[in-house]
Amino acid sequence: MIEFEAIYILYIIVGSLVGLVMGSLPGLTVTMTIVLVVSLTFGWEMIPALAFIIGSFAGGVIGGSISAIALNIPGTAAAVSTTFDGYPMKMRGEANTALGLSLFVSLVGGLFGLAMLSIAGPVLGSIALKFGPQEYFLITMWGITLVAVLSQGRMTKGLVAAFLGVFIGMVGMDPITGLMRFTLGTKVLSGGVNYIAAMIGLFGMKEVLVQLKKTKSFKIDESYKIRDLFPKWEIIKKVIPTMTWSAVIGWVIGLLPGTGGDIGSLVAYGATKGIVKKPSRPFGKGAYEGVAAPETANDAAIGGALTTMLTLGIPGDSITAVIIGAFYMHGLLPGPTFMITERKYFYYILIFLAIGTLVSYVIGILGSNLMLKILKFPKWALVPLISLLCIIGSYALNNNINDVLIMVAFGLIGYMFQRANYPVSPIVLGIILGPMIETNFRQALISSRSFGNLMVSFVSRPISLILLVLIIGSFILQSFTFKSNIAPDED
Amino acid sequence: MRKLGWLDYLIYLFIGAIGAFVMISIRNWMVIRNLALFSTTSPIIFPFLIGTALLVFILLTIISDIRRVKKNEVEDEEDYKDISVDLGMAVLYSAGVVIYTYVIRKISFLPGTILFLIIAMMVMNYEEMNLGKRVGKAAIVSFVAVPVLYFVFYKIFNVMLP
Repeated sequence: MIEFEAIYILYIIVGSLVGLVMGSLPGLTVTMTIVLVVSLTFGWEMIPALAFIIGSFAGGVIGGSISAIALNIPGTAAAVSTTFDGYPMKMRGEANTALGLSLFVSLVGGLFGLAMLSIAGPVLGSIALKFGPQEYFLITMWGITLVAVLSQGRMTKGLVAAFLGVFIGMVGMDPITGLMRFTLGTKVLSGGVNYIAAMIGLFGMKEVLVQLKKTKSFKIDESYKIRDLFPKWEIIKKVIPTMTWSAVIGWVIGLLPGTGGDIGSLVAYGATKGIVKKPSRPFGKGAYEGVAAPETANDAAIGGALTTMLTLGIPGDSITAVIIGAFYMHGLLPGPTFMITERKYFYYILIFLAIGTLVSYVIGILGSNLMLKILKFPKWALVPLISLLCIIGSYALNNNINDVLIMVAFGLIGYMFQRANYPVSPIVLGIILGPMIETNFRQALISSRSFGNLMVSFVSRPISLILLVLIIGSFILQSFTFKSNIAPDED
Repeated sequence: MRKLGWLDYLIYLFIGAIGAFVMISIRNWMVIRNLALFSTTSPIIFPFLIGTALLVFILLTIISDIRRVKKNEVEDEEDYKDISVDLGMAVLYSAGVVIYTYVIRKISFLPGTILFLIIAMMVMNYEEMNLGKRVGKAAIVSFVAVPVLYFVFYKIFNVMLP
């Protein structure tokens, strides 16, 4: 049985508020929000920390659409395609309708993802119990290659980043034999690289460095009418079919290891463009369907990503990579046995996510004008404050100055990689997935007794064979997946 | 694509050096510790595979970058503008953060952080030409924000501060 205390709702509300504010600010990503929240909740008890983290997750994803519509700048990567029609709607004088529709479909998408998590979670968990090390090795490899392969047009750079992450994950003591690896003989690295400090660097400090040049604040002279933010039935009626397939697309893409709401929303937008022959208006000119598709999908993807994370122990994207890191920190081990040994936490997560989604919707409406004001907060003040949060967050992990140095080093590495057009997310997935890949690979090798037998086992075991086909398929498919017409129509 | 710049070469070098470091470490383990590479219980087989993957993929990246330059594919031009200045700013800011984390241990959190924020905000608010206004604004924000952050993190959240 789970015990629910009213104070948890307060944690969720504060978390949602933090997520909404940070998610709405361009340049401050959801991942950055989560990683900062995670580091600051390190010393908390597990359940309040879970409530706070999940609240900020739900709020952050919804918050991304606010700046996408108001400024034509997505607050998060998952809101990129919301700008395609959200901003044109605003330019038509329909800012209220655009934001109201966006928040409403986000709510529906989030609840759909949650419902699917509650149904599919236990089923997938029982299937995952049949997985051996071969299957786990392949599924984790699939996750890491998929995130690299989907690094639009930069596949080899994505793979370099992913394997760099795996290398970082190997630093320290070998988990099986105790051999010290790549520590350069220093004590600092003997316990490995603190992955949360590395994540704060890669997502927090890196963004600070990116924003150093962008000190201009945004000029916003409009305001929302709260009453008009509740969407009208005639508009909802028009987007119900779009919401239906977008929710399914978002959830399924969230489910795939290595992909999340950012890709889900783009694919849902592309699919909607292909399916809807007579949209309310042309796509790119303020079509309701063009706002409904990505916003439904990116919230439905949360449920999908959490399903994979909780049942297989594999993060679906960089956000769930951070969350799984937080779970490890608090002693929770997601995976096939999670549904058996930690079932109560599964229910806590479901309840917190449901409340978080609802609370984010309500705060998104009631606090929309406040968030517009926050968008005007000067960057010259915001950026140093964020860097201070990164310092406090990384120090708080072990009360150790070395973690701050690791954070700064990873911030610089992330910044250089980004400027040279290497994706940063695969590094984080590599750090988290690396030890899992290694352990399963070596267990599979030991149980197979030879390299030849291991290779044969990949094709002789039915689930392994399917996963192998999926890995090869994702490499082949990537050549034309992103060449599809995702961008809006142009005259 | 833009021409290859020094940052591209730096990353090729960085990844190449990591790949080489992995391979040299493996060789040393094989010679000094007498570890077999291709045995089913080998602790160095996985690092060997990852080192190889890093070297292979950085090589493929170099080939793909050279091809793009030759084909004159237009992309990412904007990202590379003023890279030296930007990277210099990033390194300076990071150095400032490192100095702050050491200085703060000597002069305690509140004054050290207020000082850090005032300097950082002054530097970042370069569009404000009036120096007095720039200092004033930075000081007001810092004097308000730092005690609030201190109270929230230290007193409410029980977070240890540097």
